[in-house]
Amino acid sequence: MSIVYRRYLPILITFICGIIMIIQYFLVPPNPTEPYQTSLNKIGTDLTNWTNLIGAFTAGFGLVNILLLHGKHITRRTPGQWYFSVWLLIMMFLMVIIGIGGEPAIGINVTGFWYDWMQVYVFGACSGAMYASIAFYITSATIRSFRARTLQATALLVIGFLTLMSRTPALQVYPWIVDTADWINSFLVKSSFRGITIGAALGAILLGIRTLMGMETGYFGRRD
Amino acid sequence: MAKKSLIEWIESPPREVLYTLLLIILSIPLIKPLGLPIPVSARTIEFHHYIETLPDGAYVMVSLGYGVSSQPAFEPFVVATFHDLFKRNVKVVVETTGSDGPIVYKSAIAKANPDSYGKKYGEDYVFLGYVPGGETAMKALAEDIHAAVPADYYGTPIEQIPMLKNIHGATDFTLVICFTSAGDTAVGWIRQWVTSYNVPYLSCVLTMMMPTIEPYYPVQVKALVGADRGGEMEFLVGHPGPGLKKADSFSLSHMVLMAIIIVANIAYFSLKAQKKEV
Repeated sequence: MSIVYRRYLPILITFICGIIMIIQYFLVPPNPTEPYQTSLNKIGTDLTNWTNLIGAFTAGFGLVNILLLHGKHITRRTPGQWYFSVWLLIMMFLMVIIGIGGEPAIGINVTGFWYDWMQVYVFGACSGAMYASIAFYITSATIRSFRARTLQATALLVIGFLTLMSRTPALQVYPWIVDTADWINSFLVKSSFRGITIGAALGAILLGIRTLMGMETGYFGRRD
Repeated sequence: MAKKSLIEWIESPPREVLYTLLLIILSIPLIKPLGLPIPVSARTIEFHHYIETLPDGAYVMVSLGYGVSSQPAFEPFVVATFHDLFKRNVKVVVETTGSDGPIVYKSAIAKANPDSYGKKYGEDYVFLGYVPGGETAMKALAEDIHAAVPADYYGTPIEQIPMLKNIHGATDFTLVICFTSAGDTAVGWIRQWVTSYNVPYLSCVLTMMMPTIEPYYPVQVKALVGADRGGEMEFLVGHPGPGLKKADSFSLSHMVLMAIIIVANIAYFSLKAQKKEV
């Protein structure tokens, strides 16, 4: 494939779309009045909706990718893995079939009950259990890490302990606990995270400029 | 392997013992609530007060950005907020940014029971379903709801929904409330609805996420609460539910955890002192 198609065309599309979105975000007011503002707003809205459509379309790519990856495991009988892959594919296709059948927006709401049932009583129960199990790991990790071994560890212990106290509903009857935790949040946490956020934003601006200039090409994917 | 002494055992208790202890102390209040004191925090009052002062006929966008995995954490707060909104003469537009959002919506709305407040679907509240695209979806909704979501979750064209006929985008909304377990979602509403359209924004996030959203409070985020405050919100709106039961669980488990931390530190220092003596 020619370098024009592989490299320059994607950079050009990225540049044009990026510039339009930047101009629309920063220069068009919420209620556009001038014709150029209305036009820019329309183009920006269309581009945004395209992005959403492409985003929805990538779910299909994800499905193909999972099929290829786990299909390989099954055909090669990867030890300790292939039977999980079989189960994953069975469940994936089952949910796709039930999901399409249960989509009211396309007017065939015949199996909506089963889709909801699978989501709530299979997926919901499993993912809820996975998420809840974190509480046990965190408890164990907290007990082991909250130890006044060094000065830094003591600082972690004190702040962590105060935060734990402030998040305990029954201990909120003591105003000093809430006040101290609020002070930590309002001054220490807020200022630290503002620094991190501003630093990340500056990095994102630079990355954006590099991408628009065609200097950042990671989004092209794998090179042939 | 040498057998651990009692102090060593206390200093580093086995995982199995901790997990069993935690399971027991978390379960007791859920089976039989203990009625421990639950003072309402200033943050929850602030959240409730913002809804309380909404003008008649205000449009509120409610975004459910969590899935079934974090449903137990969020649902008490979401249901209490729905009660708070349906009590008033406001229009509620609900959408989700997670693919399993419709499930959590159906569960929450069934518990809030809008019919009991005389609210009708399509006239007082509407569900747009899952809007894919993350932050671009928020931007699309802000610019033109009709273009971004041509039909609601049940397939009814937006033009045929009475409460949405004259609604165009973010400029028509008085408030946006987001419940999310994802940092990008919480900040995305700030970038696309608050910064661009100046729509007041309330956020309810997982408690562990609060430090990351804290920099935006109270300027961009008018009220910021952790999802663990569901019991307080239930109390404020006068609909006690699972959130209040969970508050007892939180209290008891946190206090036991704090006691273990203190005892383990005492054991650590006594072990250290013993080693010095030797």
